[in-house]
Amino acid sequence: MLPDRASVYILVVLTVFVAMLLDVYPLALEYRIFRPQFTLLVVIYWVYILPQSSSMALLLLLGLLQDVTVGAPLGQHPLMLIMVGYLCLRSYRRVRHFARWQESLWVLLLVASAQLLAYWVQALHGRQMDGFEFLLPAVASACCWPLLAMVFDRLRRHYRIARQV
Amino acid sequence: MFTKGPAVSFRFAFFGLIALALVLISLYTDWLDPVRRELSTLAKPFYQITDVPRRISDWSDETFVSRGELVQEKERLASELLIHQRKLQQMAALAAENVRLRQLLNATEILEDDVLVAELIGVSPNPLSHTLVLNRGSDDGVSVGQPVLDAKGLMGQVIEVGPDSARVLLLTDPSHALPVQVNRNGIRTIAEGTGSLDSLTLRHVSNTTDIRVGDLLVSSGLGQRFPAGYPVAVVEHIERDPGQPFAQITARPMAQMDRTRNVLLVFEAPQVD
Repeated sequence: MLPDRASVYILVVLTVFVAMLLDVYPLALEYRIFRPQFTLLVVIYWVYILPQSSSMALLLLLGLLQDVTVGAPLGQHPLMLIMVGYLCLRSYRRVRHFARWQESLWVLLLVASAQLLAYWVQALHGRQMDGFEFLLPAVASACCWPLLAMVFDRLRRHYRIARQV
Repeated sequence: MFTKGPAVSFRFAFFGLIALALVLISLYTDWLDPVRRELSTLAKPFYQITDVPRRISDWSDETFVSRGELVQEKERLASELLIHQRKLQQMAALAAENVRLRQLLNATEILEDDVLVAELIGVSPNPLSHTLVLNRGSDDGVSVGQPVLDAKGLMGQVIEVGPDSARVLLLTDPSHALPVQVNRNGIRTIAEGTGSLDSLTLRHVSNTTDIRVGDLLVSSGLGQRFPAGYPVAVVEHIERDPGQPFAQITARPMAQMDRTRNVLLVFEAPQVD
């Protein structure tokens, strides 16, 4: 059955908004490195559910908004989102057959590649980090994924939003 | 459905290039600064909403407090006020004397700086950068480059201003450096941020320089950005290795970078020629 368009959009916007709030929630500096990339995870989830409706232009705008809320150099988050969005759009048919833990590993790769881009942009602006610490958010995101996917699947079932083919 | 592949790749290339262009433009030019300033109004609600839990806990701390504790705090504040007033009495005489001496030296008078109290509404989620978000912006006269203080010392400077919010770069950010001098003997040096909230490093201080653990560093005003004479840090550790050209010195910032809630924005008084 076709989902009711309005309710889908409201749900997507709301979840992205909540994820963006979680992304800027104040944490002590020691814990900040363990924060999962909530917005990126939510975007990955929705692109896998609604691949036909996802638009790169929207990802660009969302990324710009993230840049100003997070205080990153303009262009960093659009770059991350567009790259991850593209990988998701290319792979969604295959990933549907994955088990949760395989999905988690795949998400680890996606977020890690996004972090690599983010680290590159930050390094251009003169901020460096020792070792592979910048990949910790990817690990945190992968750990967070099964829970997030479970909760979102429930939400989706409740609002009767079907996967697009 | 099967024609979708190339279309997706094309869209990816198109928008990816736009994003890449944005990164490079914001890196090498300042064309995007006005865009950023306009967009920063969108960021404030996020910080205000994530600030709500803290506001609630602050409110409950204030509301559900026993009368005894309030009386105790009142007494503590009253005695503190007394101490500060005593210091101020001395200050008035010293300031007058200072003005007279400077007149004798034909130097310009040092004017008092104006301040504006601002409240912290958010911290940067990026572990690489030490920035804060304040609830005052260009509507209150805040401008880029303005120094920010807390009760104990210098905290940082404003790097981005929206109509009603401002972003502050802390002294401890790895990209920040400011000219300081040792309060005891006036030796000038530069204090750089290290990326850790409780230390600054002093660069290019030779092994023979007279600098000791416990020395107070104050802003020297040489960078034309920070007003002179505000406390910045206390020297915490000195390592003099004869094999190295310079001593390795770390200092602990005076300002409480991660605890302060209310900060002061300094408006420098116009210089009299």
